[in-house]
Amino acid sequence: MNCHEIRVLADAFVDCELKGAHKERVGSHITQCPACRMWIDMVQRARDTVRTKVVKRPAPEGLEAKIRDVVDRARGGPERG
Amino acid sequence: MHDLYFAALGLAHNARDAEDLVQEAYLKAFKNFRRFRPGTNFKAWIYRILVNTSIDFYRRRSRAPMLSALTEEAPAPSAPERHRLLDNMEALDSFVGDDVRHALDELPPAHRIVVLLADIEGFKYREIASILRIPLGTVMSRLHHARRHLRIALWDFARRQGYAGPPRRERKA
Ligand SMILES: [Zn+2]
Repeated sequence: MNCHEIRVLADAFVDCELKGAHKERVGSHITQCPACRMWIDMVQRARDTVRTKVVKRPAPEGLEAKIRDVVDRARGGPERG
Repeated sequence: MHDLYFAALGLAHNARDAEDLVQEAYLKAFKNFRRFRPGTNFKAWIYRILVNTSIDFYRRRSRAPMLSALTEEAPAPSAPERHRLLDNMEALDSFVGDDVRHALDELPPAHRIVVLLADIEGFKYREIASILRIPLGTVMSRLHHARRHLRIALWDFARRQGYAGPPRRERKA
């Protein structure tokens, strides 16, 4: 596998979604290739930035009540299916 | 409910639509609840309903972009990444609050949704495949493109905010 192929697989590798031979090949490649090791590190750090720094905007007040309303109305209405 | 709303924001054109989407998704989930198989992943189930709802929603309003945008491949970013973040990884530490969200907003919908599902909602690739009804290999390649796209957006954002100076390739980390 060349460096380009390793980088295509980098995302799945850092997500632990790579199995078997692919996983082993990426693992052994990065022990020998500092450039790909840095690449993997960057992919992971960027991913972790997204994971840890995204602030979820809360749903607006009143949405929960609206949902309850809609579902209650459906419950009272005719069954669909 | 808050998680679902946040995901809806990623799917909708605006906050009003996001509210409608969540309401509709809950209603559909309620009406189809008997189709949910106990023991399977409820969160993935309701997200799939949300995604389907958003596709129907914009199809109904014949604002077609969303329909194909979500299910078809978005073009990979044309500009090469050119190792810019690689040289300035400490810029990532400067991101605060809604910054990442702003970078996410710049992605095409098909890319935004996979990042949202994988990195913000923490779904496994298998679950994302089932939510978006795309093959596992497509999840893998799309997430790869999406993250590349996002890194470019993060980098541009970092530059605009002054988090990062010009790339200094000569500087060894
Ligand atoms: Zn390499």
